[in-house]
Amino acid sequence: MTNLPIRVLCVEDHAFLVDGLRARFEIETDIKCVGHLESADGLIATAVELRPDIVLMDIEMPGPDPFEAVEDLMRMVPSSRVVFLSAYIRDHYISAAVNAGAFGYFSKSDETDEIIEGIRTVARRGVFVLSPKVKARCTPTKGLKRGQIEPLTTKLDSLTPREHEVLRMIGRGMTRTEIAKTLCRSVKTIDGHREKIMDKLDIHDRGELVRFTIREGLAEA
Amino acid sequence: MVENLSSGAVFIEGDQLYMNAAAEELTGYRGDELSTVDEWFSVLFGNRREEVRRKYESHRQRGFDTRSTTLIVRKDGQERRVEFTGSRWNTHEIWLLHDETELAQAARALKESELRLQAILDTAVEGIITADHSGLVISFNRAAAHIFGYTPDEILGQNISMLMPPSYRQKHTDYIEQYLKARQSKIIGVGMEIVAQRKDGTTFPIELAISEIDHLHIFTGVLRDISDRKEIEARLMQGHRLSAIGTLAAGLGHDMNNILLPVRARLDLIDHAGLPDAVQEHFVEIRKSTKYLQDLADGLHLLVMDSGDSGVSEELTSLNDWWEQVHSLLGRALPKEVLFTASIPSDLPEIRVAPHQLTQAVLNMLVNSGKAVGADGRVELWADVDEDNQCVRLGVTDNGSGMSDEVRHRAIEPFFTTQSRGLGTGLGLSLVHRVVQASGGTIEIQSEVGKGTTIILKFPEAPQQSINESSQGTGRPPLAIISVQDPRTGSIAESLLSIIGFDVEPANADADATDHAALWIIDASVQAQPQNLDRVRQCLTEGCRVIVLGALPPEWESLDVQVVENPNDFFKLRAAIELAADEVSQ
Repeated sequence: MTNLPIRVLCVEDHAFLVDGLRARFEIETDIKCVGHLESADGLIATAVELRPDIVLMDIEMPGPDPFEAVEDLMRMVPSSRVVFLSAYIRDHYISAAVNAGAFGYFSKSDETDEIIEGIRTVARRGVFVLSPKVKARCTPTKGLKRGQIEPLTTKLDSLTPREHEVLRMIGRGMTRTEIAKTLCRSVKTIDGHREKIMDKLDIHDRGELVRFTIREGLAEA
Repeated sequence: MVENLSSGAVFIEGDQLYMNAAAEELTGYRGDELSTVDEWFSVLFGNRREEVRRKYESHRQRGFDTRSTTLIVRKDGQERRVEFTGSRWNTHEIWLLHDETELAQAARALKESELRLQAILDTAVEGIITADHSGLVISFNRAAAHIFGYTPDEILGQNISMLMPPSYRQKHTDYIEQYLKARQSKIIGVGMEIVAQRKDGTTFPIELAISEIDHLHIFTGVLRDISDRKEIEARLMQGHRLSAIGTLAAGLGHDMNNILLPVRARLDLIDHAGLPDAVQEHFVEIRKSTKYLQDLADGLHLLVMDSGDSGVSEELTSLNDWWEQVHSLLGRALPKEVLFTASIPSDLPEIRVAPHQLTQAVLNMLVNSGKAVGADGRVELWADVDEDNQCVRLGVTDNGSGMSDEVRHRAIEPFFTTQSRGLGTGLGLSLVHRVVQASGGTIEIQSEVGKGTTIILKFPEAPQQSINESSQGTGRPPLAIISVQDPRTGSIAESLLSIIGFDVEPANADADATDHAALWIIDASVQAQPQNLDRVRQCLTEGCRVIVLGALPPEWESLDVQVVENPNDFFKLRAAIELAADEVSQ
């Protein structure tokens, strides 16, 4: 690799967090924050314009589904590598991040040095990095048998990014009309998403669906 | 005169007996067939003739002062129930006969009907009570007797208000009076939940539906004891509240992360810029406080409690690692003046309990202890291994007020509390019990009034073998070789392998470093070289597991390898590695 600074684009809805990180990057001679987006909206256009080496991306943000946005980015701007930086350490987020093509997953509670080093490793070596705290939370499952791998995939994993997004909105207590308005879709389409979600999650009533979102932490944002 | 009477009449003169037409019809005999008193008694009363005759003589001697009813057998064999009224007239007697057969049958049918109705009412699960317009109880079925603890004899004829707590009684009486005047009610025909009172004075919730039989001014109340339902509802609400509190706490922790990361970033910057010695000390203190807040935020996510959590947990928890994460949070559960110590040895076996559940349980135990101890209170959290019973013991000991035997026995009942319920987690020791039960363990409470309490959670040691102990007794982690061309895919596998406990070595597709490997992860680049088919066969023979990333070529299909077609599928890759780890450790 060259000695050019690593160009970082922050996608994060908390501006003061980005300001703090930008200030922190100033200590490092090889890392530079080149831009900031408050959501994944316009990510591809900004990435095309700024050509970041690293997109440091939050998960729980308003706007488009971040995993879907990363999938699109990987197709359109494969030179940019995505590292998720989230307050949440959840199996299904880590899984969705890997599936979307991300190169790293860090927690906002990680040491700043670890985050910096992670950015450096991903940018310079093109390898995938999980922070020590994230690794520590990924506890192994015991007692697997051959042929049982399939059921171990989380039911949430079977949802499309759009279904994930609808489910999160349900978890936040939004009505179908509100969800439809937010996603610029018809109420009928949202009903269709909800039916598919319930089918995939093997959930048979709406109360159970809301409880599921609480259990999976989807109701917190 | 007698002849013209519409009811039966018998005229006696000496021993001679004359019947009028109505009497002939009643007995079925003609006058010439029953012409003497002896014939009368011997023909109409069958084998009871002596007994009836004695009764007759007795009545006669007393001057026929009473009526009597008896059965006669008609000529056609039918039995009739007849009332006799005797009277003297000079030297004669006249008996008036009144056929009561139908009346008796109707009375019996009515009685049977009443008994049947009572039997129906008594088999009802609901309590059924009827009362008249003045509130006096007319009927009280068996279920009602069971619910209230009164026998029907104790309650029949009493005012129904005695089934209510005193504070409701006057209100009830006023209400009935007002209703009878105005005939307007919001409760007749509508179900409602009210409080009732048993014979022993205890109160309980009931569901009651009242209806009125208009023309009789009788009120019927159908009721059921809903104590169990109310308790379940309260438990659900409590569970939801717990879940909501946990969710709120976790959300707060995450928000704190959003604040703390930029704070820590700027502290790095200030540190880097160099600080005058005069403020260095303050800077160190700020760092410490920030670290403390960060630990607190990290611990908060462990409060997320799923109200539907049940069954044996799949998660393994190292008490030492868990304590590392939650000590800041749990330490805050006790009042400042309480001396809190914790001793969690580092070499304890893992236990099968989810960390967030353990946090909830211990938080409740500490909060209880904090309330039980006084100003010089001491609370200790400790853990050890009970070798005899192969369990890990986690205990909280305090020098507080202790529990009486009664309190100790009831302590793990849901909603049992010795203090008013505030904003605490509420379910207290019942929740602790639930958590330890879900992990297959038990709870022990040792307590003495005035001396203190020790609550011990006994978790069975998780039946697992560490992957590190399994590599042929070498004490070293098993070796995994990664022969994957794509650096990202290779490093994802490497991350997972290190999480699960493998030592990892990268190898080129043509390398022969698989000699001591327990697991070999390969991709298409290895498959592309024909000689590697034999190498994989050799590895499998030597007990090494093989995971293939990507599609399997036809000539490889007979091999006992695991295939993860999409290496980006994190869960499948992880599950394949975990399965290999389990097989290695067996």
